[in-house]
Amino acid sequence: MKSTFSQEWCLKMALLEEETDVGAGALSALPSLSTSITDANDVPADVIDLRVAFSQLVSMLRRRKGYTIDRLAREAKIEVAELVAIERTENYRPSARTVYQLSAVFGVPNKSMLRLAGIRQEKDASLAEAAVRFAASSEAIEKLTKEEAAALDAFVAALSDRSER
Amino acid sequence: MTIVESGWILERATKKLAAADVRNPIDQQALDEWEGRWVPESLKLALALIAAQSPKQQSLHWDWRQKLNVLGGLLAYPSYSLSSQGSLEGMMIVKLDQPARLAASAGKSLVYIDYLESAPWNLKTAVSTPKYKGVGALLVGVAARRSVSEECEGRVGLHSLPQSETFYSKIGMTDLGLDPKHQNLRYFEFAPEAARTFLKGGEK
Repeated sequence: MKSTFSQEWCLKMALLEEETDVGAGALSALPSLSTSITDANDVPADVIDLRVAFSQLVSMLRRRKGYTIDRLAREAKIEVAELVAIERTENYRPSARTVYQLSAVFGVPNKSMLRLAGIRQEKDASLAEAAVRFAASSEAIEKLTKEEAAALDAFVAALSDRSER
Repeated sequence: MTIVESGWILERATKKLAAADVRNPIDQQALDEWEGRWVPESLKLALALIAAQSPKQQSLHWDWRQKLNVLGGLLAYPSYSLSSQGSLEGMMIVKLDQPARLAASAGKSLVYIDYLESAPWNLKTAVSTPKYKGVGALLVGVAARRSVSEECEGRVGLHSLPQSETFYSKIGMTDLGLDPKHQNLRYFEFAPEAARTFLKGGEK
């Protein structure tokens, strides 16, 4: 059964809101800028944490190839444990060699993968923007949807573009 | 998922009211929209903030997937999504039968708003020209009406974000102070009389 709020009431309330944002509950807070260093490896404070995008990229590239984690580890000649850590652990920082091996298997420019993995420390605002847009585009599900595939292609193109610089 | 309330929100640019529908519960489509539109927009805005300030010591730290998990867990409770012109503009999750804290309401139950959020493009803290006003207010109205229908006489409780405190005071909620058990957010509660005044004139 539907009920309605009158236009007069809604207008009055909207005007009462004025310049305040109406929210409640800690969960509704926006991303916050913090002054803390985010991991023990001493990441410089002005590097945006792109590792969420990196772990998703690896996961999606792997699934696009139809590989299990075991198979990818074999193809890339890296440890299964490290690959699991990359895909499933938030703050994991892979070795430069691992990133190099993965970028070779996937055909993605190594420089860009290194930056995403937090190994190169340069701040690149537009790469960061592309990365977070990509990272937000999907959760890890077994089958790549059309939307995920499109997001993946766009992101890989952006990475290849970035690697020239 | 059904439309349970309808109302209006104010489009700032045109100064016109736009029709809004409130659905219960929050369904997969709303969650997809949250993840597909709200999240990237929030992150983009946060990045712009960083770029604008470019301070030495600031970094972005936000685990949005963790937020989605927590949100998903809360969906066991009554939830509402507010849409206008095909776009998700607000979300709310409430808990029923929570204990009131006001002395005068001792022993009584209220509807507790666990989560209330407006789309990032509606937030003054995020954009210079917010798109809609009145999303949060309408959802608080929905919670108050839910409270009435649950025989709680309009009692509503919530923990306010710092930037929202003046609004809750303005609509007549009682400020019960900072709550150390809730990230030190300020707790507000409607007494029945105040809730009645708030809802007055809302019926069409």
